[in-house]
Amino acid sequence: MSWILRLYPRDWRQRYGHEVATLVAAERPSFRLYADLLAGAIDARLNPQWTPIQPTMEGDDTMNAIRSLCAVPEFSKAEQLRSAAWMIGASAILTLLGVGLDALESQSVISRAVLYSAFPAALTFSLRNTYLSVLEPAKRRIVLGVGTIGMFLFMLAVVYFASIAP
Amino acid sequence: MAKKEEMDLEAFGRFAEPALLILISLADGPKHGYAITSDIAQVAGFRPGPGTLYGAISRLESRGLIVPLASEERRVPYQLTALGEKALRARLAAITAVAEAGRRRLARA
Repeated sequence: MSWILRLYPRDWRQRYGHEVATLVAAERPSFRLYADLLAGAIDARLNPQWTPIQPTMEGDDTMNAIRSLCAVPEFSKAEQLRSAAWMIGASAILTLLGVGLDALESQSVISRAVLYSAFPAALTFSLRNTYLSVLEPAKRRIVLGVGTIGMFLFMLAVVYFASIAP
Repeated sequence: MAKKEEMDLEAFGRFAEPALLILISLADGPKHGYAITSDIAQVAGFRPGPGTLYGAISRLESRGLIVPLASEERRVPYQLTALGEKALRARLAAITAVAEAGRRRLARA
């Protein structure tokens, strides 16, 4: 059962993982339980809420509330600028590549796939300085590589099947 | 002073109801996850799954409506904060107002 907890973000697991594992151990395995944990993992990735503060009762409730609110993950100005630079740069390069390929062979499947995947691929690359920065360099490269190549192959398949469709 | 939206449980989306039930459960004292689930089962008649429970707990904690206490073995009890109590009172007042309006209209029908 612990494998499903690995679907949650690492920070989330560090904060709530052992509590959830204790709760899960007391439940009878069922489809409803797996579906609930899967939905929770998707939510934790899409809407990170955890606060990396240690359990404490020092200070009053107002101070604890302020500390919790201040602990929401944020990115520095430099990280945001680097992310924006990757987004704009990668978008521009991939768009130019797509236009170049289109000039060589108008409306080819490859040039259209490159153009369609330019923005999502650039968006993926922009995450290297923000949300993906928590990953180890090797893992980050794998995620970026698989993400962008997968995106391109998906677009290629879509454009190809659209082109042969009657 | 807390912003209104930080106390608004409606902003929790599908976690609004579990979050309200957690606040109600903690209103009579700190509880850990399993005790909260059991309490909700008694009060509301259903057991929220661990994914739903901790999705709501993380939201409540990040907004300062509940706070974790020192852990007991692997269990972390949570306590309602003053802000959480205020949010709970506001939500219950809103629910009561809606229920009263419903009762009045049914009485007239």
